[in-house]
This record gives sequence, structure tokens and C-alpha cells, in this order.
Amino acid sequence: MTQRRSGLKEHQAPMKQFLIIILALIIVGSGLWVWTELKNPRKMVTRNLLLSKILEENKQREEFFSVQLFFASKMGFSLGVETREVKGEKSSLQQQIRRALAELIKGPTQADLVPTIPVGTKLRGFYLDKNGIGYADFSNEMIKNHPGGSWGELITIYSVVNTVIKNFPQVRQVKLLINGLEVETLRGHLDLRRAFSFNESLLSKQP
Amino acid sequence: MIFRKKHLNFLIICILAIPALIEAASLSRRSFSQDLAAAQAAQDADQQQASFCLVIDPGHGGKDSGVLFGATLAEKTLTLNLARKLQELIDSDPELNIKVLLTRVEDQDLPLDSRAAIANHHRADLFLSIHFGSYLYPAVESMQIFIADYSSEELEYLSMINESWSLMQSKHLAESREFGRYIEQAVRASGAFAAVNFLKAPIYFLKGASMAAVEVEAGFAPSEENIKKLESEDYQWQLAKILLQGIVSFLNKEQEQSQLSSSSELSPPAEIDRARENLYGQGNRQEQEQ
Repeated sequence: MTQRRSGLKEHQAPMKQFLIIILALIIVGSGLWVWTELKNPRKMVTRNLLLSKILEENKQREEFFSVQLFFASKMGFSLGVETREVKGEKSSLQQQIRRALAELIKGPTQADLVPTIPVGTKLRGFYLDKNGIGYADFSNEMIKNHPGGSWGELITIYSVVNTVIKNFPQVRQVKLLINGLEVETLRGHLDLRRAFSFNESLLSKQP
Repeated sequence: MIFRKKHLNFLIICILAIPALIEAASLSRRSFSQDLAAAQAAQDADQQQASFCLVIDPGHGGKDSGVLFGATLAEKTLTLNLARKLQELIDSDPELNIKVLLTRVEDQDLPLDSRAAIANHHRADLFLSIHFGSYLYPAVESMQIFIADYSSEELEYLSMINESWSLMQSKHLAESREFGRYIEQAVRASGAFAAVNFLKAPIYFLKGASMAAVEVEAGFAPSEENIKKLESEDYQWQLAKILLQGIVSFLNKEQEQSQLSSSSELSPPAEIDRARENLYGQGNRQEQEQ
């Protein structure tokens, strides 16, 4: 048995050498082809164009996109708008929405607006289903640190809903989740079991 | 067998006792029927006395303090104080013909659905939920009046899954709007608030109410001055009077409308009535008419 195995190994050795030679030839051949191609001035232009296009695309991805963020107005019972440039990839819708909501959580910079999301709240995720319903999943601080009241809950909910739908019309309605789960209310007032549509009436001062 | 004298005595006593027993039985029957009649009369009188039934819901309670005004004053205390005052005002005026009930009479936990359930159980005509809020901005004293709101998808979905509880208020939105408008008018006329907002919102605890249902939320900027004001008895009486004005105006209009409709409405022919009775039965017919 041992003799037979060693015999086989001796027989396979020249085959191995042959394969190595073939592989080396392929590498050298393709290297030569690439070198000649690179030297070709016509193809160099095409390549450079392609390279610049890729670079341009990458640059665009790093570019900022504009979002309208809805915060509570200091002046009256309504939602005020602050437009902000947000850095983000244009290719991913959900990523863009997450970035827009992250900006909403940060609060306004304009002096006539006030924050609507309680301190310490984090966005755990944003998901979009086939029917155009977006699920904005917030951390527990959304409830824990919320001051409460029907008006307070109303303005918090619609600041999220209006921000998402105004900037991303692919989202038809928004449903709020807390820690990944559906909740009945934030602090005992507004029904959160349903999804919310864009609220036009809160944009102007109530009569 | 010897028929002794003592047997004869027993027989005589028995014969004599029969009319006495009959009399006693009729007496007890009479007293029972009298009691029943008295109870029914009392119930009828109660129903006649109170033309309307109002259920006031003092928001929050127990572990749920609601909004905190400063270090010691909680929304749950304010809502109960105001509800009691409104009840006292109505009870002190029998001419109003309003029976008032509170969903909670002390500092106790009460689930959101139970609040409308209490109003439904008492077949109330009005459901008024009282709340307070605290806003940094706008820094004005305001009154928010809310009625329930349903999205079309929500109505469709709730009907599909046969969620009759949450759909309850959807059948009474017109009455609720009317009730809210009367409260709004009373608040505006009082001049007690710098701003009055009438809003539609998916208020959780209004959805199960099968009558005109409104939530009022008095909002205040958090300042020492406002906390003192909120705590003051005078101010709470003033709020109670404003709300009562709204309630009375709404009920007066309701009464006028029902009188008008009852005088102008032609009664359906007896055959239709009888056919309905056969179809639904007596009890169901009453529900249908209601």
C-alpha cells in the first residue's frame, strides 16, 4: 500500500510542474496585454473618463441633501419649518430618512422654534414596508422624558410624521414604535396603534 | 280509633288559622308589590328628574400623575378638583336636570378604556374628559378642545377586524363636534384664555365613547405665578362655570332640536311598527330606535 502511494506521487510530480509553467505563462501574457492596453493613448482617455465618472459619483454620495424639519413654533400653536443641509448617501432612502430624523432629534437652530423630541431619545431604526408605511422606532426616552399632555403628544408625533412625509413622499404614512414595539400612547393621550398621514392643519396657526 | 277532645281542639284551631294565614299572605304580597311600585316610581322619578346624564372624566389618577406643575402640584389632582366643582355646580341647580357622574372620585388608577366604558354603562348623553397641560411655548394660557379623529384607513381596518369598541366614537363625531363648539364658544366668551384651539386628534380615551365626547386641556406656561393660579379655588370655580356654560348651551340646543323634530315628525303607521316588532322583538326594537 505504501509503495503504491509513493509510486503515484512520483507520477504526479511532472504534471504539477507542467501546470505551474502554464499558470506562469498566463500571468506573464495577461501582464503584457495590460501593459500594451495602458500604453494605447485612445484607451487611456476612455479609462480616465471612467475614473473621473466614478470619482464624481463618490463625490455626489458625500454631498449634502436638503431637508425640511418640523419643530414646534414659539409663536403659536403650530409646527414651524427649518431647512437644513444633511450629509448623506443619495442612494439609500431609509438611510436618508434616518439622517433626517437624527437632525430632528438634535433640535432646531432657529430661535423661533422649540424641540419636539424628548431629551435622550434615540432613533433605533426606520423601516419602510411595501405599502408605503414607514416605521420610526424610537428609544424608551421618547416616553420616559415626554412631558405629556394631548397637545404635547400631538406636536411630537406630527413633527416626526410631517418631517418624513414632506421630504420623502415615497412614505405615505408613519407609525411610531417604542423599543421596536407598538404602544397604545406616549403618555396616555394620543392613540399610537394607527399610522399617521401628513398633517396640513398644524402648519398654520389654529383658529 | 278514639276521636279525643284534644284532636278536636287542634282541628278547630287549624280551621280558624286558615283565614289568618290567607290574610298574612295577601298582606306580604301587597307589601312586596308596594315596594316594587315604590322602587319603580323612584326610578321613574329619577329618570324624569334628570333629562340628561353627564359623565365627567378627571384625567389621570393613581400612579399616573399626568403633567407635573412644579414640585408638588400634579395634573391628576387638578383634574379631580375641577371635576368635583363642576359636579357640585350642576347638583346645586336642580333646574338644570342633569345627572352628573365622575369616572373616578378619588386618587385611583383607572385604565384608559374604562373611562368611556363608565359613560357607556350609564348611557350618558355627554362625556367630558378634563386635562391640564404645561407648555414652554407659546407662553400663553390656552384651552385646547379635542374631539376624536379617525383616518379613512383606520376606519376601514377597524371595520374589517370588527373592532367595534374603537369604532364607537366614529358614529358620534357630529355630536361631539357640536359639543366642542359650544365649549369653545363659552371659553372664548369668558375671555379667560388668551388662545382657544379646537382640534381633531386620535385621542385614545374618547374612541370607545358612544355619545358626544370632548376632551378639554387647559394649558399653562410653567411659572410660579401660574401654579398658584391653578391651585386657587376661585380660578377652579371660574373654569367650572365656563365649562358648565358650554354644557348647558349644548344641551339646550339639543332639547330644542328634539322638541322640534318630535313635533314635526310623523309617527310611522301602526302596521310598520308591528312588523318591526315581529322582526326584531321588543327589546331589539328599543335599541334600534335608540
